[in-house]
Amino acid sequence: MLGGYAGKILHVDLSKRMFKKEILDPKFARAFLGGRGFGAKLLFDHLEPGVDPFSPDNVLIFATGPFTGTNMPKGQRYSVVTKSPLTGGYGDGEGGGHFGPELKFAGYDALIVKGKADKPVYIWIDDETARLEDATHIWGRGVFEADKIIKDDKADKLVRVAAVGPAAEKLVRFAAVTNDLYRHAARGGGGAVMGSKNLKAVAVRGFGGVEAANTDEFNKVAEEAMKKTYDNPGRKGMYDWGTWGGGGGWDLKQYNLWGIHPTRNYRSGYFENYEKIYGKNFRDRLLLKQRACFACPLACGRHALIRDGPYKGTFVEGPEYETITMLGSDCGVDNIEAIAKAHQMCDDLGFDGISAGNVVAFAMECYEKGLITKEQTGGIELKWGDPEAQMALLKKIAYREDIGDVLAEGVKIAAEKIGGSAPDFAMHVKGLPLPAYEPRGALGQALAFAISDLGGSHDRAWTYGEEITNPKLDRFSTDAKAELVKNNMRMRTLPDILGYCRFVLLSYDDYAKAMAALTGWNITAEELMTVPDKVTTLTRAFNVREGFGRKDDILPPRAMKEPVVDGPTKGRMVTKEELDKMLDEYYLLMGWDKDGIPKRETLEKYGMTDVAEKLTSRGILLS
Amino acid sequence: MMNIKVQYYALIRELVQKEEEGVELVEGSSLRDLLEQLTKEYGADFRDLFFERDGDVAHRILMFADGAEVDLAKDGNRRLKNGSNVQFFQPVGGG
Repeated sequence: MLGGYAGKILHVDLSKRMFKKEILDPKFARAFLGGRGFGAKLLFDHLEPGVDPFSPDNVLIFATGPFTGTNMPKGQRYSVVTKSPLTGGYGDGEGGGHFGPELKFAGYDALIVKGKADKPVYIWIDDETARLEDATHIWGRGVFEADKIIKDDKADKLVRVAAVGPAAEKLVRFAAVTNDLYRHAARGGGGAVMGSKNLKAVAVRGFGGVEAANTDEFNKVAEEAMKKTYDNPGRKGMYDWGTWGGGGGWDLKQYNLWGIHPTRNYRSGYFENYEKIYGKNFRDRLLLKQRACFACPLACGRHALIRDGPYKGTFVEGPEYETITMLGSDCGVDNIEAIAKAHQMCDDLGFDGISAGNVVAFAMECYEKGLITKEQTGGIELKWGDPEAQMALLKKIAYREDIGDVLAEGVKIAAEKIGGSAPDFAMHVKGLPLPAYEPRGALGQALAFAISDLGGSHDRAWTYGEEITNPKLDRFSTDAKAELVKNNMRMRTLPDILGYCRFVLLSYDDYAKAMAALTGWNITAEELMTVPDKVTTLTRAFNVREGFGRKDDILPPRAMKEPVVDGPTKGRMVTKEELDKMLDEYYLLMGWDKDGIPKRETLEKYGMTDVAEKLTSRGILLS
Repeated sequence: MMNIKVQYYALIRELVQKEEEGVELVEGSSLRDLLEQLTKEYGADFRDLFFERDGDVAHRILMFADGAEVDLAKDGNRRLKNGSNVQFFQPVGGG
């Protein structure tokens, strides 16, 4: 068996109630390595273009990487890959916790789900045995309760569960897949696709392990990697402050001083009350203890308890930087306890917290402008900064009540339905709501948002840090930004493929040493560095096949026509000329043509002639 | 003389092309003295990461001495100890 891999892919057809095991092809493994590399190729191969994301024909893939479940530090990621109901294009999310390792211990590198169950079910994987279990008794329940009931049903607290909440059952397009209660493969709409398939959860128990081709060498490399990670000051920053900083590192305060902290639906990049919601206040008022994922020395998770006020007694893991911003400043909310409560609601209802905050902020602006009335909200006074209104709206979205039924479609479709000026301030790219960074705050990041295969996501490239702190770069210039984005995207994509958390990274040489010992392949840093570029080209090809092109690599009108209203980035916009210049440069670097379509020679260089053929068979001309 | 272990991360590692090195300094040297010595080795690009052109401290790089964060503006003249571990770090955000 190939070291580093479980060696099998499990196919599940929910309509036919059929399971099939496929032996992992070592050539496929070498070419795409794992995680969302596997997911991207399997989705491209198994899904016909033009399929509605909520159709039973859509495909949902859970994929682990070679590092998942090993003793590499932070080797715990898995990807959920599907056709996104938010964008109609490629979608994925990466989750931490323990679910990914457990899937591999059970013997599977990936799980491919098709079809639709005729009644609510969950997939139960108990080592070699896999079957469908009735889920009518957990349908309608929140994520927390569903997790508990499944563990009780199996009389085993160590069963690892990836579940969806009521939001997914109601086909809220930004519903997340949640594993281990608080970890999310959030952004691509995978939860909503699970809901559309009547699939409440995937529950796994595995008693196997992951074998290395050269065990002694791999243990040595993994130990060195652990030491390097532990010694990195970023590790201590994450342990002490989580994702939102507050001490040894950049933090929410720094982002305000840079003017990139989204406030009131991205009108501004500066929140005047940021000190009420940043790390020090969180630590003093809410923190119980740090919580780590599998094999992780960072422990960036925060266990928190609300000790005072109307939400007293609420336990939550989080909030983290993204939710504190999207449910906090972006909605004008400056109450740390209320944000923690709203975060907990998002976890239990099963939302992607980024999209949920973005959608509520959008609705608050609609309300302010009179585009949504009190009658439509069912009586909620949807005012900026009102946490009670925010939480009431989150519930209405999850259950599709009143205006919640429209907002459940995500900001793009909701804005089209609401009409008027709403599309001008619907803050998304390709339909995916933007995350907790102001797109006008740095041009490289603007490019990264515009070209992301997912849509409005920072999962691919996050370049603010280097753009702002590298004295050779000017964040408001287009110079050298395409290359910066390409390199940063490569650096952040490879961990997703290897099943490795992207906080506090190692060098490409370190990854190559680990992969060589794990798999027995003679694999170099150079070879590894081509794989993220290949996968990015493949997901581009997927989107091109679905009708996407250069026209879709664009930012929302607010970012291109309205200047930031105040703070350090006041007056900034991203012009069409600037974006066009960077797109030309980026496409060239990636080996794509002027319309952003991968060139034939590029696809062939990556060994994807089959992808080229599938595109041409659909009438797409390759240059 | 005293020996200081210096470790580089992220942007600054790309500039110096090293993960770590040992640096010899005269007894009683400070963090500013260390930066001056390293500037001789790595040039103006290195200096520009730490200081603005007018000499003000630029808050681009985080510094740790023996595990504790140090502020160059406030602690730059504090003496380093023989065997100290100094880390230059640029956090990577984007969670």
